[in-house]
Amino acid sequence: MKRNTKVLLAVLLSVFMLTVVACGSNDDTSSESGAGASTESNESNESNDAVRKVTIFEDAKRSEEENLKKMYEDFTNETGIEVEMVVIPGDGIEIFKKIDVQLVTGDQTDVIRLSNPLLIQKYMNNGWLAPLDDVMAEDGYDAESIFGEFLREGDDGKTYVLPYQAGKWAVYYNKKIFDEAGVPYPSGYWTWDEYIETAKQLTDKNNGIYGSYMLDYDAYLYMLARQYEVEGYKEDGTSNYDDPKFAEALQFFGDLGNVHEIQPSWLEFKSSKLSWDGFMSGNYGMHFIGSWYSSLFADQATYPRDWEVGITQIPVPADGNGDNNFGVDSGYGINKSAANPDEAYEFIKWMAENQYKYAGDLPARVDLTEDQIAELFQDYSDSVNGEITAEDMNNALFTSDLGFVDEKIVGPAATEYGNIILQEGELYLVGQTSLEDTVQTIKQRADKAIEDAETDS
Amino acid sequence: MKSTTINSKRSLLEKIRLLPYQEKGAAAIFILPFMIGFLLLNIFPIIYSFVISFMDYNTLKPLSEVSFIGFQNYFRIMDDPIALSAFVKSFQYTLVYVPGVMIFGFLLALLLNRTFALRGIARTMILMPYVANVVAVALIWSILLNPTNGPVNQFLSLLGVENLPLWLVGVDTALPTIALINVWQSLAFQTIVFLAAIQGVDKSLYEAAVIDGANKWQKIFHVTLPSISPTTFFLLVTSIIGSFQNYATVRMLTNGGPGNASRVISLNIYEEAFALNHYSYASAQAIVLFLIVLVLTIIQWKGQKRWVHY
Repeated sequence: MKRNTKVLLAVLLSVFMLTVVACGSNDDTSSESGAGASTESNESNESNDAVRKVTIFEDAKRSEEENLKKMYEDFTNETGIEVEMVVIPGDGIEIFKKIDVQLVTGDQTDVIRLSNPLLIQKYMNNGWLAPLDDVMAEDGYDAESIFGEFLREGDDGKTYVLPYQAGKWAVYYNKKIFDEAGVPYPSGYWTWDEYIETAKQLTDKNNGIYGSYMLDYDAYLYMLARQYEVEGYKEDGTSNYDDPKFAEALQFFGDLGNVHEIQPSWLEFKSSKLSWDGFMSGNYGMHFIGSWYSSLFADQATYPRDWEVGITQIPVPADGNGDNNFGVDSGYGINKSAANPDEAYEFIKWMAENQYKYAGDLPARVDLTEDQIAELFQDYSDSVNGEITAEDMNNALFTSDLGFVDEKIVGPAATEYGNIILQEGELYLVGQTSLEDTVQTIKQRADKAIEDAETDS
Repeated sequence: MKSTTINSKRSLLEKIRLLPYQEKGAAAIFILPFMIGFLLLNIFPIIYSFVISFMDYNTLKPLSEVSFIGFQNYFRIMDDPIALSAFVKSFQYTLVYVPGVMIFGFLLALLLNRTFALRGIARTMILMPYVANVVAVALIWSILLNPTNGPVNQFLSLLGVENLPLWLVGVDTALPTIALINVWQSLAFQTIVFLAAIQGVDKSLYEAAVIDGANKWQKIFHVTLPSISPTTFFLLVTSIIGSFQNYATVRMLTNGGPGNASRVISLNIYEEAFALNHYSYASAQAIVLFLIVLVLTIIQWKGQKRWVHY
């Protein structure tokens, strides 16, 4: 073969390979829907490979957690199904930006872990999840009796998600800071006024100690309104942000940092780029956060600390009209294009029933006995060397007299709504706009977003 | 009939076989890999974006369910103060970034063209910000410009400055601060290109200018600048295009805040598309941005006749 011909062939081969790589896709044209519907490609895979497996999206950080690996190992030992993680770069809800695109392009990863109600709503109502009703009926699986009120339905009345967690909020506290300040540990029913007073006693800015720590999530900007059970939407579907309780909530949150100076102000939080796990630094007396945070205290490898942690129930407004805790539920759904729907169903069922044993969070199960709950809390207590007792957990999260409301504003354009509250609320929190103007702008922008969402849907 | 077909097939194969022996054919084969990549990775996404900008793909739904809605996404921009503000922010960013990077790049190039001790090391050092990771750059500048306990404000405080700037967390200061940080980071590229151009200026022109009595500044304005005008034009066009595409630094430094004070259009497009799943609406904004950049580039292209000397 002449040299030029070889060059020509090499060039053409390169072009061919480039084209193949660029156009490569793992699309499957299968249009099967519903969990448990085996696809043709799946069958052929199984014939080539006897190992049953299930794939799940995970974020980079979580994929390295020992708890998670142990949980998947136990699942594999019990069911014979191997778990393959599809690791998405990024952490937390950031990964869903990538997952969205993956789904649109026909990705066949089997399971999606939906960590809050907004994500559940989005994937469920836009047709990306496989309905579970038929397969559960065929299996004789009574999800209603296991998950009760936490079993969400889509707009079409079908079940798409099995919940694995129904978190509540709590106040975690640093016993060392309390001891050094000579302040007794908080316990039982208490008000926000008492929380502020306690935090003031703990705050020692000269030594870099704040009595309180809160994050920059949208929920913090309206937590007080949610405690009062004020809804995010009016009956006519428009934004309810002009309810005075929202203004009160925003002002209350801003005052914690700007007026009472018991925690980093919004300005300090943002300019110092303080992080979601900042409480683990040991520089804060109390942290008001969801119970999902519990697992961090058991992870001494990632968060080594020389202080002990305690837990108590969340404070409430002093007028007695907002005696509520709040929280979010999370769940597992099956991709409607899943390559292994049978295995995915087994997986989400197992995870929904068992994940609470590993993550230190509250289960979304209503069928657990008091003994099982006690056992759960005792296991967690053992994992933190008894710093938090089973009784502490029970008192903070279960036996308090507080009611329960959804933490998030869930409804049309909920993500936009939350972003608007954050964007406009931030201007108020750093002193750039008045409370009245902020409320008015949020209301106007939220109404526009809701209207656009209705047009789009 | 059959033999004709065989002959034509042979003729086609023969032509392909002979392609590498012909200059044009060889050229075509050599650029083919690039062209395929360019078409697949650039042209096709642009066309795709253009097409979906006319659709109602504004929720996370399957592509099979989308339909054409004409110019509605474009009209929606006119009714969206955040999008309009983002376009304005991008212009404001360009107004700080482009003059900054061009003027400082040129001055630094003039400086580095002189003979001084450790010139080699100095030339290497100015490259460091350019090759630094944007996340690291954002982190360092966030620490330096921390308004409460950052070294910059502590220094200003020592000097007796009372109203200390909020830098990245101030509504009025966030965008110009980001632009200046980007000037600092991008300066090396402009400087190196300017330096190469300055070193290519014919020495006899300077000698003639000196004979005519030109001073240092006159030599810069009447010899150096006209001689390097094609380079200046190239850098100006690419800087303006780059400034409108700025995303990473804004995302890392302020994520568009406080409020929407530094929300430039690239960030807005990203958020609309990937945080809110408004793919069609984001595409419409991207197409408008593309047209703005195109018009600006055409204006510069037409205007170059007045000041660019080839």
